[in-house]
Amino acid sequence: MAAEVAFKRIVAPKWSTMEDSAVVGAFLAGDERAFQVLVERYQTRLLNFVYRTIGDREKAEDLVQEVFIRVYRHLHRFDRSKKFSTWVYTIASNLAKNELRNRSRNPLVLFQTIRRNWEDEDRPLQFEDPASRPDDLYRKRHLRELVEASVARLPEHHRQVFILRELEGKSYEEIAEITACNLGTVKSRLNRARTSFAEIIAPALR
Amino acid sequence: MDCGRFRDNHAAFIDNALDEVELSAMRTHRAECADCADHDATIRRALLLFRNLPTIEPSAEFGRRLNARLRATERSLAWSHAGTRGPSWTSFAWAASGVLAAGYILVANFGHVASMRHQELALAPVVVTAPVPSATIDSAPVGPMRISPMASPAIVASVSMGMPVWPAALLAAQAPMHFAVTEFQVVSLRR
Repeated sequence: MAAEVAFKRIVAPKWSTMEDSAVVGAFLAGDERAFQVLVERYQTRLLNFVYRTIGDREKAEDLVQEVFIRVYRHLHRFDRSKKFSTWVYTIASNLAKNELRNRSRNPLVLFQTIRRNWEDEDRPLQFEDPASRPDDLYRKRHLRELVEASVARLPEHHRQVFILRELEGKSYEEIAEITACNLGTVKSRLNRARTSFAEIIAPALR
Repeated sequence: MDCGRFRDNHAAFIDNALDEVELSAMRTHRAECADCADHDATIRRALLLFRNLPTIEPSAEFGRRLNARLRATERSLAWSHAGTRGPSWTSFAWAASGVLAAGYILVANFGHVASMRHQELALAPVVVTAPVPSATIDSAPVGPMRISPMASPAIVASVSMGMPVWPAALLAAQAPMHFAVTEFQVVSLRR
């Protein structure tokens, strides 16, 4: 049976109360709907994590899809004594790291990303909240771009730890597992990332 | 507590990951040190901005594209599973004929090599020039019959072996004698 994923926002109550490990178990037992539940649970979180790491929306979607493909292929090998979310974030983290590495090797990719971002900037504001006043919209948008640019200036290994903690709310232990670092490294990277981020953005806020 | 320790523990302070004693010490230091209080406020304000970034949602195409990719993955997985079930008759026949062909080639080549192994290696004959005793050369009278040092057996042998340096060195060593003999010849011819 094909793994048809309906991607509807409505998930049956039976699934919504289930732990990830139980959903994984259901999928491995042959229930294809369980995979839809996993996609539903993680697609937005992973998209935000990857997007904040690599800074390219379109590529981030591709990478998140790749994460789910890998999960689908290798779920039978997943050690169910561990947390599913940690495993999924580890895959996403590695893909994001590879993407950044490839981008640094290939200037054309970097150029295309910059160009796409320019096009994004040229996009009219009509998709944003129409109830807001234009100056508010401008201010909010400017602030968002400022924050994103400040995050992008962090070194890659600091940025990942920073996003996993601040955006995803992961514990130090989980971050250590996802990024394959020890706990001390995670703490020091997080401390440095926070300080650097604050130092980068502070002059613009005064 | 000093400022260095405050900065080192700051990440844990923000995350409320310190024990009660350390937490209290951090709060006290922040209240007493203006620089550290400023540092703390700057970081907390920056983090607040970051945490309030709008969440982005997957595009409308995301689900459709993921479905298509999942179907393709499933097809490839089905292919690979089919490959592990065992070979079909056709693939078995191809594999068997391949093995037979490889065996034939191996046997044919092995026979050729074995027959070559029985043949004796025939080296080219060594051609040498009988050396003229040096006593004969030295005792020969000065005149046209005397053998020139240029044609000494050592030089002839080395030249024929294709060693360009050795004859040159020999010639250089024997040059004074050669010139003397030539001079004697000229003198004897004048007489």
